[in-house]
Amino acid sequence: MKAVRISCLAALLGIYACAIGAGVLTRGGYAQQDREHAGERPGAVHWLGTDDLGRDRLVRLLYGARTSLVLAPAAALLATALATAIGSAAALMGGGVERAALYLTDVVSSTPWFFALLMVRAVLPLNVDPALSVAITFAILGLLGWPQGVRPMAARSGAMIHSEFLQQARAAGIGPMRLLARHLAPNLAPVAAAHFWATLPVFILAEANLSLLGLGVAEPLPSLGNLMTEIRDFQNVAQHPWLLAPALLLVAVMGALQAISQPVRSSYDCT
Amino acid sequence: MNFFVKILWRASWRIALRLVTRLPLIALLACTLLCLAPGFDADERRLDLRLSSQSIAALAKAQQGTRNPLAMSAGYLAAVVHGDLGESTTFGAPVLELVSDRWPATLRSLVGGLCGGWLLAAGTATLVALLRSQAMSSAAGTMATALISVPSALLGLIAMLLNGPVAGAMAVVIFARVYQYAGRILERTAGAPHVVCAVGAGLSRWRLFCFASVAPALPELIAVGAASVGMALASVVPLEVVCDSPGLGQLAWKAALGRDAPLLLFVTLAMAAAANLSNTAADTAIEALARRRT
Amino acid sequence: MTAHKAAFLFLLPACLFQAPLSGQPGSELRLSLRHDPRSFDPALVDEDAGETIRYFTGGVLIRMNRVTQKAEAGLAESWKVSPDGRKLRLKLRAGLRFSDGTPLTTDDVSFTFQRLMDPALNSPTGDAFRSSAGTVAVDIQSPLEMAVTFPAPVASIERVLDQVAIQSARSALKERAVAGPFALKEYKAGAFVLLERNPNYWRKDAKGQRLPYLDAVRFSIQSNREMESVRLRRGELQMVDAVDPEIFDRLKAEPAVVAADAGATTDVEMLWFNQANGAQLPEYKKAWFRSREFRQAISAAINRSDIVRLVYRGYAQPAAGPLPPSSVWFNAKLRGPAYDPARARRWLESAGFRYAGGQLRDAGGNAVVFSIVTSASSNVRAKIAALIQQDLQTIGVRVNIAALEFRSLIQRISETADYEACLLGMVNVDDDPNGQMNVWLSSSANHPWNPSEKAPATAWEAEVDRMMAAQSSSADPRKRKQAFDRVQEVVEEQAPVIYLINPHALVAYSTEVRDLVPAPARPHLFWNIDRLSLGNSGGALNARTAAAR
Repeated sequence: MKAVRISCLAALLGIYACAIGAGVLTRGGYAQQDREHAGERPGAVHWLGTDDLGRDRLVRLLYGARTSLVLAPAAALLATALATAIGSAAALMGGGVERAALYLTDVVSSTPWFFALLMVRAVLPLNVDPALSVAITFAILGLLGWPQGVRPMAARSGAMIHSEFLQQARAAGIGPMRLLARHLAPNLAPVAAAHFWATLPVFILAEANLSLLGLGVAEPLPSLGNLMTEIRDFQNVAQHPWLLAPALLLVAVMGALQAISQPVRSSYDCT
Repeated sequence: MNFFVKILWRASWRIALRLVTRLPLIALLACTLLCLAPGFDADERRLDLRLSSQSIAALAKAQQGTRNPLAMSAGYLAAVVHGDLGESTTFGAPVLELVSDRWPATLRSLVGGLCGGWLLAAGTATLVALLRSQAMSSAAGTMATALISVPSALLGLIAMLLNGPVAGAMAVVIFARVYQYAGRILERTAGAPHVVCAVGAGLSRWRLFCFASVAPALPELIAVGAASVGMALASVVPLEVVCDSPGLGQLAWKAALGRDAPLLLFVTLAMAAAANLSNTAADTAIEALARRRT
Repeated sequence: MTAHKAAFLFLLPACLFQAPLSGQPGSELRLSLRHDPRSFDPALVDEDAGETIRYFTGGVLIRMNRVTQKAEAGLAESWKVSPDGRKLRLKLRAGLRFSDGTPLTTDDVSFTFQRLMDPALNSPTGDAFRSSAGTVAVDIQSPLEMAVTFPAPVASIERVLDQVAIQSARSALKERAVAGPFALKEYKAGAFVLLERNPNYWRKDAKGQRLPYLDAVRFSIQSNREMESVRLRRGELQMVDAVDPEIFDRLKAEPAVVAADAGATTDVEMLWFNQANGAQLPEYKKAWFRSREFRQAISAAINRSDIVRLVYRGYAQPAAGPLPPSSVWFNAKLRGPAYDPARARRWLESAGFRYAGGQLRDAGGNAVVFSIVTSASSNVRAKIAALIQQDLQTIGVRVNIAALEFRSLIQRISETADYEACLLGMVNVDDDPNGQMNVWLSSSANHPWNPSEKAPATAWEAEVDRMMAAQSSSADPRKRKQAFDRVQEVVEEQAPVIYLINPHALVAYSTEVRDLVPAPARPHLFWNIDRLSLGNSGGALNARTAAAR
């Protein structure tokens, strides 16, 4: 299994290096249109072919990966941190704090934030830099993506408080900070990790949906999400299977990340 | 028996209390966002080249409703209490009529999707936990990861292509998400040192799974269950829109695009009530479990 | 097109030996609507789905033949328009009845006109008659004969009457009582609309058989385009309108489907700059957008052929003006847009712009950067915008694309004037210049670049106002053409709107549908719905008519 983890790590580092170094590795850039070679199949010049406007699909995939694979994990991390903080605070403090936290969770998860996103777009100037627009989009996703994780987190924290080993640790005179850092946090990690893994791809895909509202990436900036919208024309995919490249890249990155995180998770399993 | 009656009584009381405390705030927030969002009183009919300037002016005037969210939400709730759900501006029909036509489709999708998704997730997690095979665990994890990386709209399209129901696509969505949580939770409890020791000592794996893995993880699984209702409600909108399924999710999307306040408020509050119902049920169950244990 | 010609040659012998096909009664036609009809009241219909239902159910006095563009008798057996275009005399057919059996007489026609002209109704159909204030005077001579006098001349009245479904003044069913070939049977919001044959429809075929041939028409509400084409291939739908070019190319290979290009439509994709007085823009940007040279330079720098080739796969044509060259109202003197970036640079330099390191700057040193707003739901417009972005980069202009949700976009262009340039499409219901009054009149709320002007802001806008008023008040087609020709010339000189392309009408239908002839005018597929029928041997003929086009 170690070999698998090492190869996953190498692959992941390779993907991130290619994505971040897209500007150095490729010529032209993601917006360059080679109109005489539009809609071409993969070949020696364009390894993944070109899109309808003659833009190199591989170059766009690398730039798209840079946008999505850097910003989406940051947003997922933000959402997970919020879910962990709110969920564990609710369980640990109990009483009024718990009621308030759950109240907030219920209200936030039921509010139609669609309109808030439209408001954000309305406030942004029309000439806003596409990179800033996409960063704001992911920040919003991070800020709104926590409610689903709160209850599982609170349930886990609740179970932990009454666990014997924690009571023993308390009885042994371990201070609250040390208790939190050495005993509680590692045991909350699996639930937090689950929330992180569940939200990461959802955010990458949600960004593409938000571009329907005018938020998210704007032409010509690519993202994994908006490159994947081409898959929706499923009849086209059968004839042009290379359109699946963004989806496969996402699955590969997710799989590699999970494989690498496996030993970290099992080492925390001490209940 | 007395124990369950007490729990039921407590749960109903709690649901009522939660709805009374939460729904007005959700309505107020929804109205505030609706009023402040761009396009509240814009209407695509204004771009109709056949309309005279007078007609366009009349249309603009008709669109200008109250822009006071407090008055709007209070007025709406008061009308709902009196049994009047208002009339949809996008469909030009009473909200009650639209909703009564559509709720069965959404309920079918939700129930089918949740049951299917949970069955798939629970089945896979059970197999992985019982077999304790690294390969099996990796395969199941990869499948869930691959499925969660597929846009739910695409799953909807595939369901349509196969002439399958929306519930089928939703089951896949729910499975992929639930397995991320439930799979990990069960793997962890099944891998706890005392369980591994007991396996080594030759105790029945099945018995151990039920009593040493699932039982201690029950509160967390119930919480995931409540969260999965939220996930299902969130996926109802894209799935129904893509599949052209005439349900509440599609109605919500059209209401949002058309800034149709009465319809939007109703669907928002109905979905909030459904989510609250499941959350309350989960909270009550978790508390009951804790009380039984102590 | 070559493939179509080959199909034609191949199928010709088969057609020659085939018995003449006539309609056979029976069966249900299945097609789709992209969204729910907003209203079934023919006077209030204001969107595509509603118009489709009205076309199937509404009985009209005069029907335009979509292929010949000639007016044909409908409920009116004969009609006459006075030379000044204000008075219409008509004689109804004898024995007309609505779908519920109530008789249709001049009283119902009068009721329909009075209702349409009611200013409180704000009917888009009614507004076409109400070019000036006043009421409509109806003189009923008998249950079959009447004269209608409008407050002002109604230009090309036959075309307007094609949209007016006669409503019953007496029927308890109100708008559900119809005089068209079909009547509404059932509607389930979001799911389907089912129409059934109107047994009282007036028209009969050559053999005396009462039309329509079809028993029922079922519209599924289907917004997903890919799914629509899959269902067509599976035989669950029998007609699909406005097919996407990619899907169209795929459908051409299907054996049981005819994919036909019915030619250029009167729809047009266009770009305009915000010249509104109250625009929330810096003064220097307002000055760019008000400069004729700037607008002409942008127009010359856009490669329309590339838009046609890459976005529409060749199923469109570069637009020379508000109407395509195939329209009788098109001014043949228009030079048409020429892609010439060098000329665009010269124009810009003549207007005081200069280049600094490849970036265009105005006389004040401001870099020329602007945003184009467009609708986020349109994939086609996103591609057009990306092509324009690169085209303009070659003349040193930087463009940002802001795709917005539709209502937010409407608010910006029609209320707050908070945008710089807008890329949108215009749908012309027909090509008569009267249909564009609200685009060109400077006082109109839909005057794109500067809506609701109190007085024309420029001399050329004043001239356009005069010409449009002149064409609208004249009943002489020659004079109307002259006036609208001048409007097209002014628009070409001033480029307040930069016309990009006219898309083609791409349709696809099952070979089971007989006697279907796709037309470039709306509705492309079912304009002769009362004569369409279903059968297995209709394929060859249909393929032939499609190939011949």
